[in-house]
Amino acid sequence: MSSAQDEARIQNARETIDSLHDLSQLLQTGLDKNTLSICVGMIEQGANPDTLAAVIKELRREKELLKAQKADQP
Amino acid sequence: MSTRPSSSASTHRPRPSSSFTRSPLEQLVYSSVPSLAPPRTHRGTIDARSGRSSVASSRPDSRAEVDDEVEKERKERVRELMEWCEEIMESRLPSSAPLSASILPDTAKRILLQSSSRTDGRSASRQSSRGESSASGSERAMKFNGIWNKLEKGRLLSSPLPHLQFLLSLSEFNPNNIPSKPIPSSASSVTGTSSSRSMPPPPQPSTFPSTQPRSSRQPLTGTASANIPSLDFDVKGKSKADVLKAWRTSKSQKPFPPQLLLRDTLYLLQGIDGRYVRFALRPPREQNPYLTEKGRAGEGVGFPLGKDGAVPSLEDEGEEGETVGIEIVADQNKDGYISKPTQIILMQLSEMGMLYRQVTDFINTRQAGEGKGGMTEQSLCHFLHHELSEYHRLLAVLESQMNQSTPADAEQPAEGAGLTLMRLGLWTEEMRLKLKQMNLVVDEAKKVHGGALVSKIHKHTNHGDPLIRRFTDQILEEVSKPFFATLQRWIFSGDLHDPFNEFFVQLNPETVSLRDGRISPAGDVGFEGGMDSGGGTDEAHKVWEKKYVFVKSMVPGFVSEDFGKKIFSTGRSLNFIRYSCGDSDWIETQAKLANAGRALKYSDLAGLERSIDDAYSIASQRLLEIFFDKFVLLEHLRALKSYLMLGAGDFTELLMEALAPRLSKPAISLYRHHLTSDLESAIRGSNAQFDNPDILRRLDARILEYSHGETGWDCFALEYKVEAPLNAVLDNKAMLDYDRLFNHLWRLKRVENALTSGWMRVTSGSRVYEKIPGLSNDWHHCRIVQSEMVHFLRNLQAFYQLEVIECSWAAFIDFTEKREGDLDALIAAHREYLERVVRKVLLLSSRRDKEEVLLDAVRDALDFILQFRDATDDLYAWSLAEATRLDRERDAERGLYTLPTTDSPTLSSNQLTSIRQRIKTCSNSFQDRLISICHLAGSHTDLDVRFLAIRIAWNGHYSLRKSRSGVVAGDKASGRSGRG
Repeated sequence: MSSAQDEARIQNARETIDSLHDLSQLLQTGLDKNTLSICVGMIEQGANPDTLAAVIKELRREKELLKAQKADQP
Repeated sequence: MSTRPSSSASTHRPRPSSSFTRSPLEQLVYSSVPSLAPPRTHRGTIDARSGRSSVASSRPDSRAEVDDEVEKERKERVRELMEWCEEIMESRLPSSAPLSASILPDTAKRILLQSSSRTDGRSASRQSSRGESSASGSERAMKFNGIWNKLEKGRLLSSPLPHLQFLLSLSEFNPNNIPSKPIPSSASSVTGTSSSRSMPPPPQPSTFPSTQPRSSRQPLTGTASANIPSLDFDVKGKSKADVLKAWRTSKSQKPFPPQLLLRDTLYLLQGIDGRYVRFALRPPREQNPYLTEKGRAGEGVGFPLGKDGAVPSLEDEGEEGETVGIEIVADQNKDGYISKPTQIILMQLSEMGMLYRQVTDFINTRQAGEGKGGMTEQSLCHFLHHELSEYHRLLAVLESQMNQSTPADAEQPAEGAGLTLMRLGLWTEEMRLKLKQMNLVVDEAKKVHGGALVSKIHKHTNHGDPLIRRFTDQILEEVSKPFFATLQRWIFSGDLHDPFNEFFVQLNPETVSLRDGRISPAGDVGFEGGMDSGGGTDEAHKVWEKKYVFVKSMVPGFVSEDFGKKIFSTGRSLNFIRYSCGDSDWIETQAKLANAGRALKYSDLAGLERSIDDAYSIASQRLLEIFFDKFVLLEHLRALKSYLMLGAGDFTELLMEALAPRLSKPAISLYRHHLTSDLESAIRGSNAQFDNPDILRRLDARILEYSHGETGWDCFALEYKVEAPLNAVLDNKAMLDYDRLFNHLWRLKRVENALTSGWMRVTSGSRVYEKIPGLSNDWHHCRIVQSEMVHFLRNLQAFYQLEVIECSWAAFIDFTEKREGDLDALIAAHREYLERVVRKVLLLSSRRDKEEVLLDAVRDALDFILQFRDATDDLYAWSLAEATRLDRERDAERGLYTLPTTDSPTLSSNQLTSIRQRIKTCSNSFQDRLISICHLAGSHTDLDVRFLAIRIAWNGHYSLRKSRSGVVAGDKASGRSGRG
């Protein structure tokens, strides 16, 4: 494997993630790039998109909860 | 069509394996809930984002403990969260996506197009903060197209569809997400937006995305001018359906709420009556509207389905109460009308419910044990059960779809989102075909069972539709399992394990008693075995021939008949080895078969053929080996040939010599013990004594049934005893043939013997009567006829022994040396050998009614030979007497004293005339017979027999004589030959 090929691959991957990020922006999913790339990785490995979405929603709820706690505490 | 992709996809989720690299899920947790992320350094600047750490930093002395506590709490929290998330991931949530994954991009586009109005009215602030979603819906759709194309072309992702599904289910535009948003006023905002919507979404034709190529749809919806066609549509005027709708509305008939119909349809699909639509049962005969007036099928009466409706005359077939269609029981005036097309769709959909019902009924009745039972049926039920659970899963997914789309559909029934009756029809299309196929199979299963059922199902594998074909293959794979289990047992252990008579090899019902009876070789088959042992000797043959029967109708379609016969023979051979040939053979055979055993199944038909071929050759080889090596079949056959077909000349000669005085007496004075002792002495005196004692002890003399006046010659027979398992080959029929052969050959031998002894006497005594005047002519004639007879007999015997018996034997030996085929082939070869011998020895003609014409002629000729011999004997005696008389006369002339003779010359001359007459008659008759024999044999169908005619009349003597006698006494000769 030459490094040029690797580079092309990396470039390609970056572009794909960028496109997906654009898409996510377009659909207003509210995912940042980091989270998105993790999710993309998981889906590529065969995770069920629906359940993953449910997980994200759960996590968001958790975040809101934490925020509320934080707001309560001080 | 590729439907139902997603509901089961979550089963293989990657599990976090190493502790160092965090699992994606953990990363996800940290990334989306940053406050839970672990501190970067172990104890340095505690993350400022953590709410509680700021508290800790104000108290530097207890900082470490608090840190630990916070860390612990954080970890606990993360762990809980992770567990929860994993639980979600492992759950099987109903898929929110449409069943066909290929319509996802279209769904996304539609959502984007609609989003303009929804978000415009709602949260401008959010959009401005994102800074990019101020564009209108169509612009977004365009942008989406661009990105989507790029993603589709990129090769990095295995498929962009799941990603889109993921993003879509998170999208804010997704109507499903609206209620679950953390914004408290979301519910009210939805209703608000929908009521205050200024511009309705572009009316999209309700599409079948998978039936239309994507490329053709692209210009319509993908560009900004997506609205234009719909505008044109409005200008042109309304469709008939719309006109009708408007008319109905003006008549204040509102359409029936589709979601209610949908729910009912889902019930129907499960075979349950809905609230508004339910299954119509077949009315009792007298109430059947179709019987009286066919045209009465009005609205809501019931839609006849399938053959029953189309052919009312066949209605007797169906039972009362059978589902024949559906019936709409909704009050159409109150709830709204159901249009005709909708009714038709409903009817089509409900077919599945009906099929489902029938299949379920079948399973239930079979499980309740009401059917004939059978392993094939059981496995069919198992398979159907499995398929039906698939069907249930599909229904569950559909139901979840319906629940999702219900709120949206309530207001906009024509909208493409969610579930509609059309989509239901589309998405269940495949299942419908499968159900139909299942129903077909079930119908067949009610009629036939076992192998016949398998072959019935196999017929469907040639179906033109690849889907059906594949599905049938699946059914067959499952259904044929018990068949293959039985098959395996049959061809590898010769065991028929078939409690329900499903296999194509079945126990012969007539001979069930033989099933377990192991046939042990009878111990006493010696001379004292007696004539009554005939009852038991037939068994092995019966076992081989009749124990199992081949049921042609049960042969599965994928096994050809030849192949089936092979299987039949394999198992039969094994079974025979096992039960009729002794244990040691069986053990050896099993060892040989051990490595041939393989798992058989439907999908590996080539392997099946190979292993069956292997098993077949092993089993039949083994059986032949047993017959030839252990039971020395060939030795027995050779013994039969040399003793019963008189191949051993010295033995025959001795036996004849020993028996002749006894056999000349009347049959009534014969005793078997005399015969057997003579037989024994014949064996002792000849080369037969060196033969195997086992063979010799089977030889026995027998007296046939005789009637009054018969001599011993007529009822003497030599017998050869065979027992199981040899009599599988040497069955009763074969032994009868051997008897016939012996009878004929024995007679021939006896005549030859008589002739020879007569000739000896006449020749040796010729000196005595040479001088008698007037007799030389008679004797000369006698000698000519005698030599003619000898010539005939010699040729006949040579023909029998050399041309017939030895040639057939050689052909048979050729076969046995090859050792091909199974026991059946061996039996057939032996039978062929025997038949050939019998046909040629007995000179049987192929013409049915005149089979034995030639044989009768030969027998007559033999009889005349015997008579002639008697006559010559008489002539000899007369000559002696005459010679003595003449001597005495001469003595008297010389003056010697002689006793006065009692017989006068006139009396003796009378005697001479009668003797001359007899001789003349006999020789004439014999010659006539011989001519006709030559003639008949010359025109015989069998070439070998024709050759016999040439041997006898090699110089054309008889044809010459025939023509001469034909000229002189035409009517007499032709009358005889015509009779013969």
